[in-house]
Amino acid sequence: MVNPVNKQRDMTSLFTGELSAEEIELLLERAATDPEASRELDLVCDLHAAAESEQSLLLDSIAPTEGPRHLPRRNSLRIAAGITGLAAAAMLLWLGLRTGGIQSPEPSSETVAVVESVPPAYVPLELRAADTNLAERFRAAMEGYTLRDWPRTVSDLTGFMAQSPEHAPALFYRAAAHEALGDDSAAAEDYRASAASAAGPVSEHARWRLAQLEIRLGHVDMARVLLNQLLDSRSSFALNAEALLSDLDR
Amino acid sequence: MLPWASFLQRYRPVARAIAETLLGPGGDADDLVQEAALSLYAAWRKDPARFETTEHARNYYLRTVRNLAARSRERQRPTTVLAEDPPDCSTSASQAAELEARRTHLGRLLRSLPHADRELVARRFLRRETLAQVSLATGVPVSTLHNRERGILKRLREEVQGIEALENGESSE
Repeated sequence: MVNPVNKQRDMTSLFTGELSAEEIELLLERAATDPEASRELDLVCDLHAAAESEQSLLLDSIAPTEGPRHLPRRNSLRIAAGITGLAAAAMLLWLGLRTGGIQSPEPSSETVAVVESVPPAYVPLELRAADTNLAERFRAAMEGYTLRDWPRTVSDLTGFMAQSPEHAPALFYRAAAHEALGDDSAAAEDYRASAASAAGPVSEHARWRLAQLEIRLGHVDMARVLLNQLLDSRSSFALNAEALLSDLDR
Repeated sequence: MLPWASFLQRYRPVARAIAETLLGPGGDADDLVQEAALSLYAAWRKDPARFETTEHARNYYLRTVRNLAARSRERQRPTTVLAEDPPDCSTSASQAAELEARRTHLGRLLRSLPHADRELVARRFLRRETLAQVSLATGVPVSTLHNRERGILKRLREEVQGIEALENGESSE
C-alpha cells in the first residue's frame, strides 16, 4: 500500500521525531541529491535557530490546551446537497465488508477519548443543489437538526427519504441524529449507506464518522479498514485518517 | 577551511533531533552527535577536498549520525578518541556576521508572522510536535496545517533569497 501522506514528508519532520529510519534516510538522500531539498534543509535549520532565539515570543503564542482532545472536523458538507444518488452495488459491497465477523480488541479509553462525539455541523445557507425543490425540502427536513432536536430530525429526514431514499446527505444527518440519540446500530447503518453513495465529501465524511463510531463500539479492526480506505482513496480525510490510525497504533 | 563553529551551530540541532529519533528514549544523543562531529573532523583532516562545500560536510555529518545510531542500536558503535588538538572552532568575523544576520533576519520574519503561524512554528520547532499532535491540540485539520507550514516555509525562503540577492548585488557593486 502506498501511503500518500509519506510522500509529503518534509525537512521539518526531521525535528519532530516522527520519522522512521527509512524516511530519514530518504530525506537525507534527497538533501544530498536535490538542490531544492538541500536549500529546504538549510532553511529549516536556520529557522530552528531563529525560533530558539525568539522562543519567548513564539511560546507565548501557544494557546493553553485544556479539556478533551478532539480531532479536527471538516466543513466539507457545505456542498452536501449537491451530492445525490446511492450506488446499490457499492452499498452491497460495503455491507459485505460488515459480514466478516471481525473480532476486535477493546479500544483504550485514550483512543475513545479522541474520536469525535459531537454531531457534525450543518450549514443550511451554504448548501447549493441543482434541484431547488429537493434542496428546499431537505432544508425544511433539517430544521430539527439545526435545533438539535434529534427525534424530530430522525422523523423529518425519514419523511424526506420516503421520496428520496438514496439522498446521501439525508442519510448522513439521520445517522448523526441516531448517534446523538445513542442508537449506534441505526447510526452505523445510515453512515454505511451514506458512505456507499457516489464518491464525494459526504461519502468520505460518513466513512470518517463510521470509523469513529466503530472505535467507540470496540470494533477497532473495522475502523482500521475504513481509515485505510480513506487513506488509500486520497480523500480529503486521508490526513485525518492517518492521525487516528497513528493514535490507534500507540 | 570548514567553518567549524558556525557549521556545528547551524547543523547540530538537526543532527541531535535525528539522533534522538533513531536512538529512542534513553539513548545518548549528545554523545552520538559529538561522535559524528569527530568523525567528520577526521575525514576532513584526511581529505579536505572531499568537503568542497558546506553542503558536503553537512551531508556527511548527518549521514554519520544516522549510521552511528544504527550501529548504536546494534551495540556496535565504536568510540572515537581524538589523538590530536581539537579543531579550531573560532569563527571568522564574516562567518559569524553571516550566521547572525541570517538568524536575526529570520527572527524578524518570525515576529511578523500572524499569530496562528507563529504558534505552528513554535509547536513544530520548539516543542517538536508532529502535525497530528498539533492538529489534536488546536482542532485544525492536519491537511490545513501541512499547507500552512509549506506556505510559511515558502514565504520565508523567498524573503531570505530576496535579502541574499540584495546583499550579493550590493557586495558585487
